[in-house]
Amino acid sequence: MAQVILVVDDDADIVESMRDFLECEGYAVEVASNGHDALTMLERIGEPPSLILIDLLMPIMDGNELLAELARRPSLAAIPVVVMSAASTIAAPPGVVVIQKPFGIKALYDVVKHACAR
Amino acid sequence: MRPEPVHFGAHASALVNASPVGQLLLDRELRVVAANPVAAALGPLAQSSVIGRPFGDVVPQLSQLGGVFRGVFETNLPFLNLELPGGGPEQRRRLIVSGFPVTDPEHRFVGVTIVDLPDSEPIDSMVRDRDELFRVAFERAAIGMLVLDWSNHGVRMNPAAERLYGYTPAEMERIGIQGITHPDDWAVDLEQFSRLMAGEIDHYQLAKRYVRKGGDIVWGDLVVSVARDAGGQPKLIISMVQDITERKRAEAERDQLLAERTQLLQQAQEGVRVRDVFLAMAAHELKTPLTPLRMEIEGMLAATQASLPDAAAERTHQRLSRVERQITRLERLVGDLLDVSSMAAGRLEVVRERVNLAEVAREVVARHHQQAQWSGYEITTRADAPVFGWWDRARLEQVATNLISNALKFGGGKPIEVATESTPTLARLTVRDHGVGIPAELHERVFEKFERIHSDRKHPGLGLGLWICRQLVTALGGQVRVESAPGSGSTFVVELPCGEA
Repeated sequence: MAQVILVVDDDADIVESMRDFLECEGYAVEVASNGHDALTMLERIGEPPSLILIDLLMPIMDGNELLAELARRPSLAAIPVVVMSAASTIAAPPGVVVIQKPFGIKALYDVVKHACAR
Repeated sequence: MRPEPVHFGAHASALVNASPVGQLLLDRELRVVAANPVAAALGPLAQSSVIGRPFGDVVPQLSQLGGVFRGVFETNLPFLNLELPGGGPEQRRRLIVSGFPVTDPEHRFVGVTIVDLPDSEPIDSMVRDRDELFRVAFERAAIGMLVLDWSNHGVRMNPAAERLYGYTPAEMERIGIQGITHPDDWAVDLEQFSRLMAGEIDHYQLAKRYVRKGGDIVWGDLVVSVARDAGGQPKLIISMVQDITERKRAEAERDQLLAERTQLLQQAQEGVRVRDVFLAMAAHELKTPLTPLRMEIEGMLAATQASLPDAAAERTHQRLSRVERQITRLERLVGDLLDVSSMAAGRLEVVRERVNLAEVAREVVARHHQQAQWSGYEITTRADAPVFGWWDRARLEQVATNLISNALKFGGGKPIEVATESTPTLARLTVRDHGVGIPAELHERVFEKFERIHSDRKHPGLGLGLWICRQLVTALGGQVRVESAPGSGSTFVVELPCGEA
C-alpha cells in the first residue's frame, strides 16, 4: 500500500504541483490549505500519514501553530514533519527539518524519502 | 588676686602700629601727640604730618567730640563705644569711638580708639539723597556697569562688572577693553564703538564674548552709550553688560540638537530616495527575465492546446497553466514594486479609455476562482449591469485584483461579495468579506505604504496593495475607503466619477 503524505499550503498551485510530482513517485497525497484544515483532514483519514509537509505562513492556523497542535496530540506527535519555508526571517522550531523554497523536484524527493524512512 | 601688670616695653609701639583699631593720643589742648596708621588713614593727612595738629584736622569725623574729650580730662573717667557717622565720601560707614584717661608720671593724656565699621545699615536709612540713591543702584545692580572716563581712561566698575570680568578697576585700566574681548568679537565691537564716538549712533548693543581673568570665556549682552561734554566731546563711555553665558550655552545646545535632527531627517530622506531608486532598478531587473518566460509559456500553452484532448497533453497543459499563473503573480509583485517607486516620485501615468467596470470585476473574480476554491472561499459577484466610464483598464484591474486578493487573505474562509453599481455621476466597486475586520482607528492606516496591520505568519505580504489602490483611484479622480469593525468583516468601497473626462 502506498505511503500517504499530507501537504499543507495555502497556495493552490504549489499544492497541485507537489501532488503531481509526489504521485509520480508512488505516494498517495492528501492536501490541506491551512493548519486547521490539516487537523480536520487528519481526523478524517484516521490512519496517520507517513509524512506531513507544512508551509509556515498560512491564514487561520499557521505552520508553527499546527506543529504545536500536532505535538500536543499523542496520536499525531510521532508523525515526521518537514517545514517548507520561503522566509529567512521567520524561524521554524528547533529540530524540525526544513526545506527552503524555492526547491526543485530532486530536493523534494530526497527530503521526502529521508523523512519517510525514519 | 589682681594679675601682675604686663610691661610691653619696646613692643608697645609695634603693637599700636599694627592694630586694626585706630588709636590716638591727645594732649590737654586736644592736639595729636601720637596716631597709629589706621587712625591717620581715617583723615586727609599723611601720618607723618599729624603730630601737633588739632584732632579735628586729623580725623574730621571726630570734630564734634571736643567737649567729650575735655570731660575725660576733668572727670578722669572714660567713655565707651560712642557711635558716629563715618563721614567722608562713603557716607555709610560708622565709627565706634572710645576715650579714656592715660597718665604717666609727668603727663596726662586722653587715649582714643576708633573702630571703623563698614556698611552695616539697612538700605532705607542709607539712601539719604539722590547721589546716594544712584551710588547704591550702581553698587547693587545685578547688571554689570562700567564707566570709562574718556579724558583720562579712568575706569569705574560696579561689583557685578567685577564679577563678570574678574578684574578690578585698576587692572581694567591697564589691560583695556580689547584685553578682555574675545579676539573674534573685537572687530565688530570696535566698528560699532567708532560709529558711536563719531556720533553716527547714540548707542549700540552687541552680544559678545569676554575673556575673564584666568581665561574663561563668558558671553555678555552689551549696551554702550556715550555722555558728551558741553563742547560735544565724548566724556564718559557707559557700558552695561548682562551675563548671557547660560542662555548662549542653552542656545548652542538647542542649535546642535536641531542640526542633528536636520541631519537625521536628511539621512532619512536620502534613505527613502535610495530605496525608491533601488526598487525601480530591482523591478526592472526582475521584469527582464519575466519577458521571455511569459512568451515561452504562452507558446507552449498554445502548442499543447492544439494536441488536446490527448490525456498526456491535458496533463502538460495543466502544468503549463500553473506556470502561467505563477508568472502572472510574479509580474504583479514586480509591478507593485515598480509602482511604489514611480508613485513615490509622482510619476503615475494613467491611459484613459472607455472601460466597463462590471466586466473588469467579473474577469478579476474569475482569475481568482482557483485560489478561492482552494482556500475554501465562495465569491458572489453582483456585476451584471454594465458600468461604463473613462478610466484606465489595466489600473482598474490592478485595483480590483488587490482588493480581491486582500479579501482572500483576510476573509477567514467566509463568503466574499463583489459588486459594481452606478449612479448618474458615480461608479462604485465594493468588495466585502466577513473576516477579522479592522478597528476604526486603523481605517486610514491600512492605506499607508508598507503598513501591515495583521500578523506576519498568517498574512504575509509587502504592505503595498491598498496604498497602490489609493494612488490609482486618486489618479483616476475617485476615492477608496473601508467600512469595517472588528469581527464583522470589511467592505472596501471604490467610487469613481463616471462622466467623460
